[in-house]
Amino acid sequence: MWMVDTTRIYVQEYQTDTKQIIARLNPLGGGTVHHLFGYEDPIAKLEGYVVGFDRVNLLRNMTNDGDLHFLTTPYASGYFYINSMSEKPTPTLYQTLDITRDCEEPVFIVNLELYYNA
Amino acid sequence: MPSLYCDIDGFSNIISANVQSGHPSSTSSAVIECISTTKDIGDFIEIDLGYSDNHKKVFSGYIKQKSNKAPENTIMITANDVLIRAMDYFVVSSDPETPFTRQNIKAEDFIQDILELAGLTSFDFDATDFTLAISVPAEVNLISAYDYANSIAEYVAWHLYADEDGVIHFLNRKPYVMVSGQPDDAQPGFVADSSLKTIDDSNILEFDLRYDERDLRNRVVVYGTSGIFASVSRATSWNPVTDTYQQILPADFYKTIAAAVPFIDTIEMAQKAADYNLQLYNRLGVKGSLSILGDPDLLARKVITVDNTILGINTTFYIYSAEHSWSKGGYNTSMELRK
Repeated sequence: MWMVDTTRIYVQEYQTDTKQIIARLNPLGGGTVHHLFGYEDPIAKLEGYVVGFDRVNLLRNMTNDGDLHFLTTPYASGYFYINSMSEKPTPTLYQTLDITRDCEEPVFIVNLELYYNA
Repeated sequence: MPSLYCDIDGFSNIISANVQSGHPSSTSSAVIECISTTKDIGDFIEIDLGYSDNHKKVFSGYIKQKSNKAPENTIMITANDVLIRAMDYFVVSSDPETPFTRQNIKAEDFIQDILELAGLTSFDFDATDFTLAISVPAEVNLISAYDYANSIAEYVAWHLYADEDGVIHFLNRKPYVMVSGQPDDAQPGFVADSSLKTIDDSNILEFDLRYDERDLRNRVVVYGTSGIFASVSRATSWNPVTDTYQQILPADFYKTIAAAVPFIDTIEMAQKAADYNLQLYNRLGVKGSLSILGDPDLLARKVITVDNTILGINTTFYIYSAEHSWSKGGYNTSMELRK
């Protein structure tokens, strides 16, 4: 089960990016010298369905609160800042994704970019 | 691949560090950007930077300024070495009739006494052959301790500076490579330089070399107390490339530097000051700008050998100033060099 705090997301795609910070310097003698400054904590990107206006609004509010939110996944879980979110409604008449919600609740596709906080 | 290293007690998540030191600068300075620090204005800090397998202390001094930046929410710290205490210490006697005075005193003792007013205690001074204020007491009032002390150093053509450990040096350190056979090699305290290391094309990022007579002076005049003065001049000037005197300025043309020194009260001292300063200033400027992969050994006042195939240079240079720039863009050292 995937959740951001208590908001349920039906994830279709999930991706994490990790990166070292490496400076490239080129002395006259040729070649490239690398200096390792450190690394960036992972950035997670996920795409999924969210059922209901209230849940989408909850997620959207997380993009401007500057607070950490807990991402629960079947794999590794952890605290993230929600850096960005895009959403679009799906052409759905009746939803059966979430049987705890009314079948006429709208369904959205959301894309989240999450900054992991070590 | 070397990992960059920077450690400053009380600082965490350091984003960048920049350390500058130089022969002509009154103090070394450092600018640090970080996420958080427990240090505050007036605190003493030491900067140890380089690589995880090769790092050294490159600076120690006092925090002079602390600023917070938005929107990054980072902290910028500016610090200066211990001589900033002398810069900031303004000598003012409570009673103008009884100022701080010294009489018949060696130059090095006079400087130390003045710097001690600012609470400085760690000294490494060589002995000059200058005795000042022999018959008339020298008064020190309404001037910063550093300015007065440094005016003495300039007068005897020596150098006053603080090193990365906070020790204050006063010695015969010329702003160029000191080698035997130079005009000034008989002066007290002269020690021929040896090269610390060779920098070749495998480390050089940029290098330029230039020659000029901008700072050349071939006539020196010193005024002391009333009736005391001395001057000296020379038509030819020292060329540090050929190690000979040559006609560099047009014939019969003299560029003059003058000093008015209230603590000189004998002709002998005035003449010696003129002679020493002529040897210091009457030389062709051979100057370089060198940028290399960061090296924490290379601070101002060291001597290095530069071996560059493009310019066909393989010779020693004095590090006139050095700047260590450490950030996620890498670590590099930029230097101004003098031959």
